[in-house]
Amino acid sequence: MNIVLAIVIFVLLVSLIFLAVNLTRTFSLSSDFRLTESCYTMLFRVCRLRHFLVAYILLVVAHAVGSIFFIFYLS
Amino acid sequence: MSNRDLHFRGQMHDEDVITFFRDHWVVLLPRVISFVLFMAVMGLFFFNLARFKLPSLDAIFFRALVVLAIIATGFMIHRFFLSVIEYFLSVTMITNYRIIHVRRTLYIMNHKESIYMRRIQDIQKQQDGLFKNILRFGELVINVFGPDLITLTTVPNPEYHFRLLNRIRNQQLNKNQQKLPFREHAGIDDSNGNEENTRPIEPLEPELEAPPVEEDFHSV
Repeated sequence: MNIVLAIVIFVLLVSLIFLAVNLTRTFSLSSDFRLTESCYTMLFRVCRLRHFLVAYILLVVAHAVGSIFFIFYLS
Repeated sequence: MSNRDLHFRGQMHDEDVITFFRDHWVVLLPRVISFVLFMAVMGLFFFNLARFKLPSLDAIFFRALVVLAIIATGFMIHRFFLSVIEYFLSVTMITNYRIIHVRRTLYIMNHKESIYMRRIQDIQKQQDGLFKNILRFGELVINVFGPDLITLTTVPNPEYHFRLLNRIRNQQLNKNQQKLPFREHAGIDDSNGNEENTRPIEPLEPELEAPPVEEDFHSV
């Protein structure tokens, strides 16, 4: 169980680091454009990039918490 | 007031962004559907754990399966959101001088294309198929001077962008023609056709030859 938990924690840490790097790079690249005030074709006209980024953070965190919970549940 | 770098890096001082668009949302639809299905299955499994009789983690095969499942779910989440970020980072901008087509991903691709209005020979709008007409998206095929043919795919509301591009292109052509009466500039006198009245052709004024090109645009 300890080995499995260690591997899973390592995987989740990598996932969280990847999330942080992705967010940083997204903010860096999207600052090249200041066009978000009136996008003609914005997805469903309400969705903005920041909404997806919030969902991204929530899902990765939920995945990490859920995975650890799952390991403890199985053990 | 200068517009330099106002709306995007590389914008010229007298360049106005008229409109911009991303791909039609239909390009995201397959990914969204598969991701929602995947999340629904995972959610159902997770909230009904008590109903399954799962083996304990002592079995090595089951350990490996659990680790693989956790890696796979993480991979799916990251892959979906990376494709969403790619969707938002890929933009086509139409200015009074040019069309700027940016295709980029977070790590792998960084492609920029700039098509000057005066290079455009003609534009075709292609919107074939039921879904393209119902959901209003299509292709704009831009024929530029020379052998090149540039296709903008999954353009939303292609009719609007087609008319807009034609209008801007015609305005640009008229503006250049008004600024540059070629025959007067070349010193050709049509009244008698005498070669003595013909002056050597002077080089065009720099601002009419080409709009100033932003140096740092391609290095963004």
